[in-house]
Amino acid sequence: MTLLRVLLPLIFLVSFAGLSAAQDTSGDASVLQPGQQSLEDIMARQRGEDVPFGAELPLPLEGNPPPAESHLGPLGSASDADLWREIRADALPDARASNRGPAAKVLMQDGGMWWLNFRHGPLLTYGSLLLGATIVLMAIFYLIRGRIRIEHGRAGITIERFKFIERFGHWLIASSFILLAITGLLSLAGRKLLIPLFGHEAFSTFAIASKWIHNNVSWAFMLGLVMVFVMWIVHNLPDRTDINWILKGGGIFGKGHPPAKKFNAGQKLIFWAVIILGTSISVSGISLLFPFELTMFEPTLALLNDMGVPQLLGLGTIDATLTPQEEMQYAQLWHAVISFVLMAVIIAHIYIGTLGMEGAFEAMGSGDVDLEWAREHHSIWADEVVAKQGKPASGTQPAE
Amino acid sequence: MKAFITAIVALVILAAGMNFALDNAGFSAAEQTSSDRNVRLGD
Repeated sequence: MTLLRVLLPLIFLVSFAGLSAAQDTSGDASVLQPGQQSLEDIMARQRGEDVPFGAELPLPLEGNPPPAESHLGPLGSASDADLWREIRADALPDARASNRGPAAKVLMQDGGMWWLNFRHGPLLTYGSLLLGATIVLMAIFYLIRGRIRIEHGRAGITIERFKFIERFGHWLIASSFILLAITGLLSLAGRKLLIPLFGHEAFSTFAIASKWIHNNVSWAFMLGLVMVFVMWIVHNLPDRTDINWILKGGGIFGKGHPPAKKFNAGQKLIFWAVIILGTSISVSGISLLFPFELTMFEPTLALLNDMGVPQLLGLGTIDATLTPQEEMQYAQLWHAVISFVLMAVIIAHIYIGTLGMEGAFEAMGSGDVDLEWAREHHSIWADEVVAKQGKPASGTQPAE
Repeated sequence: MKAFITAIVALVILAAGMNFALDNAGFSAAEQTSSDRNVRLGD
């Protein structure tokens, strides 16, 4: 009787163990684990049906241990989930990668998604709107004001405005800027606009060439920038005539021609825009040309924090620690935004120097401008040149 | 016109020249993070 009392619970318990073994489905091929394929899935895929891998099965919750036995490949499911979670989060303290870049150990950069979305979204949208609006504005201005003519007709006599070296410097920076602008826009918007038109293969050739041109023509731009700065800074320092010129709106809508020296206030604005924005683009561009070598945004943000600027604006202290990838992403955004602004400025500059004003292009084309044009638009400078050359100061002597 | 043509020629020479010079000086950005130069095969 005692033996039965001991044995009966034992038999009872053992029978329960058998039942629980039946509940353990991990060894059962007919019950799928989350993410696992069934034979039916494989056969369906071979028939050409679209079967998502591990379809309709929920992924295991974080922290759940993998099933003890599994049919997933040679290692089974012996995957250290914690290890991979740390690698994914870039939190593994002694990770090493076989390539040496600063970003090599990061598989997915969480901090970069906002940058990617911004680059594909607002940057592209608002940048294009800025350029489009500038072109439309120029068109409207041309329709209303028309071409600015030489009011009293050409004098037929020319004076030298720009020497060969000045024109060379200008055309160096100008032609390199055009190439850089086009290739830069291709880098930003090419995938979105050109792949649907030309397909991936053709676009790839385009994009590789575009990148080569953009990276290598940048040096010509920087040389041109230095040349233009050195040659013309003396003539572009602001002075009193500029105040008067600006107050009269440059005479652009009225009939008057406010006096101006070699460069009027409008041209001085273009000069300083090119120098300041061009330098900024060049510096961020060099940072992009030599990745992970120049740290500029982190010290700038730290300096802003120390100066109390974000606190003044009610933003509190900005987080000034940037990962190498974030540093490059900020450099790319800055480069793109400043470039859009400069492109808009240059569109206006190209307009006024070609279509917008009679007699203007010759200054950069041949270097010699009509005397009457010079008197109307740069009267102080024209008088100086005429006095130096001993030409007739007033009235015109047409060339025989 | 001469100044423009000269500028274009200078641009081409500078672009090709700088590419050649930087490549030979070891500043290829493409090779910084993904070339076999940086792979530690011995580790």
